[in-house]
Amino acid sequence: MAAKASLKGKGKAGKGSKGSSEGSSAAKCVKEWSTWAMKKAKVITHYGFIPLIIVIGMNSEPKPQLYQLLSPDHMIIFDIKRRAGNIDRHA
Amino acid sequence: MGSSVSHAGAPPPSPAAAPTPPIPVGLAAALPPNPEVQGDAKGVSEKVDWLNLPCPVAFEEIQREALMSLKPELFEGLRFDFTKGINQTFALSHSVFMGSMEVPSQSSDIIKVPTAHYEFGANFLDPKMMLIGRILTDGRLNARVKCDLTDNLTLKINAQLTNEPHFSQGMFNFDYKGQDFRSQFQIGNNAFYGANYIQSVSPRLSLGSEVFWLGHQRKSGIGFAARYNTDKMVTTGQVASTGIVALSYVQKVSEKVSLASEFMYNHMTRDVTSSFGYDYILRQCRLRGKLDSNGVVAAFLEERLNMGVNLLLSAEVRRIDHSKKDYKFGFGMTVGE
Repeated sequence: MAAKASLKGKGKAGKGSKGSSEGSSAAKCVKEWSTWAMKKAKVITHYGFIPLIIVIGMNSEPKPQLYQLLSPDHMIIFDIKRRAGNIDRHA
Repeated sequence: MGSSVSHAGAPPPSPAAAPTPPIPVGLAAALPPNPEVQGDAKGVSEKVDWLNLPCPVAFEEIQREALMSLKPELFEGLRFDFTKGINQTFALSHSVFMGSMEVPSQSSDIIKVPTAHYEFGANFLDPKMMLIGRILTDGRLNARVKCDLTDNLTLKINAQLTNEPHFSQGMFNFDYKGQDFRSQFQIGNNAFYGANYIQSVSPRLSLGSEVFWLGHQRKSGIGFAARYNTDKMVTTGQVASTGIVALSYVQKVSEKVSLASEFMYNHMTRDVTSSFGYDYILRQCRLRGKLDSNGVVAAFLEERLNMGVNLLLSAEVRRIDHSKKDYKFGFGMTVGE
């Protein structure tokens, strides 16, 4: 978004300095491409940023289970209970 | 805050029409703490080691203590935040807000719009990388990324994306930290470029300056700031070419009590504001109150009811004249960090 705005400014300045000659078609091409790319990047960020954080979080150590995302338990203590059950069995 | 003083004269990049949603309290706790200035490590009688000055506070945090005491997140209505930690580094947050939001208006009347929204958020906090995303029911996304590229270089990205075209904004910050200085370069949308630099000149005094340029409005500005702090007090001053002078003074009276005062003068609009406030940090609660020269009296209480459960009470009363009377009361609860 920031780069898009700055490229837009540079593109406009380039067009102005070249006047109405056909040499501005290259600059126009670059400008259109970058505008299209920034628009797509904005949509991708808008829809994909939170899923990206969730994917990165689910793959971090210690690896959480899927039910932990949805369960309303605060500070999941199920794991502690489960591990305590294992210790009882060993003893 | 340091950069916003200079920007306040020029129209800031943020859109005036869309009201910004309140950032949940959990977010403030989720942000990594900034390194403290080690002011009084050497006694007054010892020689100052001029080659080993401490690293200063970042330029935009120069008024951090005053802002923490004098500008709590006052709100009107009901607020409920729930943060669920799934991992040491990963947490999800749910936040509900029902109340009135003030809409900025040209006339002197206050226009309030009743709003209700639910906000879902995900935090990933690593020592090297921090990702925070919040999405509201109306489709607005608040994204913050902080990444340590090397030991000294940090990249910060801050973005608010909306469904309406041309209302999104974003800012890229590159921070470089030296042994006794910090510098930052900013790129924002609407062709905004800014840079700032702050340097420790003595164990207690640091001086800094910033420049910015707004491309679309062809506006530029420069500002200077100074910060002097000891163990017991912090005082800062800022001057900007946009005609803003801001001074602040915070005195730590004891471990639990600190008092703050702030003075702001805007040369363009001939506006003068001064405010005084207190901050009590007690075992079970934190109470902040302030009194303003605009006739505003405000208080904000966060009380710890139980492990991880906080009760919030917010009050703001404005009674300066008949046209701008306003009474705002809010209550809420925070579960989780």
